[in-house]
Amino acid sequence: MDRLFVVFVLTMFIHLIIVLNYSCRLAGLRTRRLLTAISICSVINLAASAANTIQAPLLSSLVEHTIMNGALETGVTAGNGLLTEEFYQVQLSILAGKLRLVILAATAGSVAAAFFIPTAVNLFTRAVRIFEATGSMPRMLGRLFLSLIRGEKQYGPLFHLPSLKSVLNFTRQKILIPKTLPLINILTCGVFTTGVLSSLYAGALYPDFRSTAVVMSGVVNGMAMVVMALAVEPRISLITDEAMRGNRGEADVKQLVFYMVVTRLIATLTAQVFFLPCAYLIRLLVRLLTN
Amino acid sequence: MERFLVVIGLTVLIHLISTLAYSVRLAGVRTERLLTAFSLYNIIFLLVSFSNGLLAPLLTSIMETGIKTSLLQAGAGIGPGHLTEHEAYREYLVMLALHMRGVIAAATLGTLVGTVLIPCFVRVFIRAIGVFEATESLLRTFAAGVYAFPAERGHKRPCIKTAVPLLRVRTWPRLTLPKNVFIANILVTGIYTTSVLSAVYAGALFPDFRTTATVLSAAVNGFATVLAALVVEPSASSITDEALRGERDESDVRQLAFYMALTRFLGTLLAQAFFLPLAYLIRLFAFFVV
Repeated sequence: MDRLFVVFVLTMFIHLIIVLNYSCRLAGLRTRRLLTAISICSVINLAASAANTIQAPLLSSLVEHTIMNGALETGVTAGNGLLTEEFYQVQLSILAGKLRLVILAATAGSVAAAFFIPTAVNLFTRAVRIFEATGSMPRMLGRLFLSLIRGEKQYGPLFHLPSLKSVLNFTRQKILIPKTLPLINILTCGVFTTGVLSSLYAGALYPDFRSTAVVMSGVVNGMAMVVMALAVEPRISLITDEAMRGNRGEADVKQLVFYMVVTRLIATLTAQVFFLPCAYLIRLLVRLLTN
Repeated sequence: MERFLVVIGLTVLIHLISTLAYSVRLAGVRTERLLTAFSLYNIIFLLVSFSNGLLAPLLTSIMETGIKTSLLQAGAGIGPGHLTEHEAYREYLVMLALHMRGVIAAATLGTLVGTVLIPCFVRVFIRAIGVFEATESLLRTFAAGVYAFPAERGHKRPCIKTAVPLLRVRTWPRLTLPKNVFIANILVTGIYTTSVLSAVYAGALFPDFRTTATVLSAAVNGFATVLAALVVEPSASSITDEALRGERDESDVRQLAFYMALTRFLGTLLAQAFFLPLAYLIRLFAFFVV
């Protein structure tokens, strides 16, 4: 259970950081230092990828424990015989429950991040200002940390919760982004959220080739990444660039971020629906590869 | 041998595209569409990620084929852990090292070609950004980019000829930007270029635990990634931001793109020097882990 708890916390953290990436665009726009804000954000992304590296073996061991338990209890060690055993079926549904809990952690992380976005914009704005003054990333991180624990006021307020009024305001405005974009974002983020988890479950469904199944998650995520790079990123970059040149107001980018975050939230919920179909699809692919 | 040629081809491609990473900033600043420039470049960069994904298993399989042949040659008498003492295997190691150095040379070549193509690439990219903004269609953007490549209308000289001035050292821009960024870039490129190759060679030096050795390349790369994220990226970004706000001359971004490519070139040369020490370091790590 401890292991699952660690995975839950790490997943929350990873998704929190992914969503906070949107706030660095806003901070970059506000300070007119877009690339600086993005490069500060990528330092924080390093923490997320470190968390991902720790998480991967923890998750795989979850699956392999399930398979080992099944093999010990039933005496079936190879072939698909294990799958027909009732004991293993129960173990499988327990595993699916655990993995669905991890998807829920992604939702929890995204919700937490949504509340934290205005604060994160203030935090990134402060980070950009301090970086401008010090010119060095490690020194900036140190000074930022100091200014936080001392509660320095010179950079303006830090904590700021989004108000219901501003959220309602967004829904009343005319929608700027292309209508297909939310749909594509839901699909790709949904696949991203469940990709690794589905491939792990596919491994449990096809124990003899579980390593191949896990490596398959790279293929699934890669496809989502291509769609993201082709259909989502260029469009939202155009809008941000226009705001940077002053052809649009900051409010437009705020609305953009609002819809991206909301669709991301919906995507983590949709991932629950994608979880099983994705797992069966990956099992099918692995079967095709290995037969 | 064909596998080796594929590796060489992919390496040239990877380093060619990576060299252009900083000239995208120049196109972005000139058009005032920095993020759009980046996102279009990221689409091309998908090719790099894909090639990198192919490269790893190719390199590993070259190494493992060598180990297998040597084991077969040595016959049944050889026990685990003693392969490296074998005469034929030593000869194989020398040849493998030579091959890996060939791959590093391919990286140098790719970087050189990329550097020469910078002015041309900037022009093509500016055109592509314009078309993307007008049509929002990637297909048309791509077509316009390809069309702009040989000779764009309205320009006197064909695209390729813009590379010629780069061959004369006297016409190089003067280096006025902070030097630590460029020194860090040499180091980062040096490590990135050789890390996987050193890890594969370390695997051949320590055949019984070759998987551990090859996986350790990620640890070496991690060091380079952190250095890039902490030193190179932020400074280069703030220079670009200042140019976009008009606080700096655009020529500074041109200078940045050029010297980033040049230091990248020096980095791939340094990789030749890093190759063996890194391989021994990775073997040492693997010893500790096992």
